[in-house]
Amino acid sequence: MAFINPKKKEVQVKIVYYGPGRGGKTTNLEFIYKKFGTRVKTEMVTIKTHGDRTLFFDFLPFDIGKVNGYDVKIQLYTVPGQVKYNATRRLVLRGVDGIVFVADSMMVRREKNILSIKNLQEDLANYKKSIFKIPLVLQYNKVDLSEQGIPLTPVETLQKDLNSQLKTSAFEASALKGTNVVTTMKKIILMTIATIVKELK
Amino acid sequence: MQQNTDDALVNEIDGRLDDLFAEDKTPKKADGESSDIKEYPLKDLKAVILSIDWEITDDAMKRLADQVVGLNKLYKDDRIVFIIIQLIGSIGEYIRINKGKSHPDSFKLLNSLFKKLDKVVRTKGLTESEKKKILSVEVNKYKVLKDKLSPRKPVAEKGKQVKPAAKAKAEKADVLPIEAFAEAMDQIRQLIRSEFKALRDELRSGKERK
Repeated sequence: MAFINPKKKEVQVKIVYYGPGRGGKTTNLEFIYKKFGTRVKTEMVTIKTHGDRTLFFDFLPFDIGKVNGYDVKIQLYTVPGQVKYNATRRLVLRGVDGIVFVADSMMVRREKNILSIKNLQEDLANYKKSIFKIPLVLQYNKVDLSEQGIPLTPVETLQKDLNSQLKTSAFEASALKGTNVVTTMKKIILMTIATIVKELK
Repeated sequence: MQQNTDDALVNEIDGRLDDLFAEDKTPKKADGESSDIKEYPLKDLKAVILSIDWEITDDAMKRLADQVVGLNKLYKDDRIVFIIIQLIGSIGEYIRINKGKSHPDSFKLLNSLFKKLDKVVRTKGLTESEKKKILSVEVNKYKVLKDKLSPRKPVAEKGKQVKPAAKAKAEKADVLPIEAFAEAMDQIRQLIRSEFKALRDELRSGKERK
């Protein structure tokens, strides 16, 4: 449930980008920050290892202004994708309102995607949340790699692997080039806010 | 009625997001970059480097070694490309031996070497001098990494109780393959020497003309 401060008339919405390591979660946030950082007046916080991997999380907050008298603040987070940072991943998921699952379209990562979505289900269960109920958008990232002849998992297969039961919105994207990055983010924000409004009743 | 209010709210947020994040255009390709990717010779090397970045398996390391051998043959006449490929091979060998215990900078360097190799191979109109600059930066990074790895060696030597076999194994695991590095350095030296020689000759002929 979103953090609501009636005194300050403020709503904080927490969106987490989840997915296998090197899938492009940070790149999604970096694209948003680089392209719109000045417009939305924000700073991105990121903690990386030597090898440029997300160690703890990335954090990109921004305001979308007043809605129904409440100041709506969006907080975008990423989790570290590497398997060994399971505890950190769970910690970042605490209080999550909506999730973008960033899948890697590369053929060689097919199994990692499946494993990661299973982990997501377990991590959410840890907070007594259901993957089937939480607002969730799938993003099939790195589609641009097909231009370089790198074998990609067909969208139909990705849908079958990841979305056959969830039946949620899914976008093919290239976080590096910015294709569908904003579309994905907008979709998850709208889905999440609609759910929050529903829950508040 | 309530549904209408909710829709209005979502629509309002949608509009707000449209205002904030309008113009979702994709950036164009960098100038000079060749778009002919059908015959991209580094395709398999790129795929294997990306997969090593995710997980170091024996199969991936073997594929990397095979790619290095194949590309070395393909670029045997292009010294700069040849040297970059050799450096990739050398780092690959180090990662193959050390696997997950490899220094984090080795993965960074492997990616950086590939990026530069890609640039040198794909960018049309890159001059020899620009290529040499690229190579020189990468060789420096290689040296820095080698220096970072070298101090570990005396530590292993200090421990007198270390059994010779174990000691040898530890050394083998800690250092980069020296032969590959020395070979690459020799080639770079020769390249620099020949450049200097050409420059001197040019200066001499200039003086004589005066």
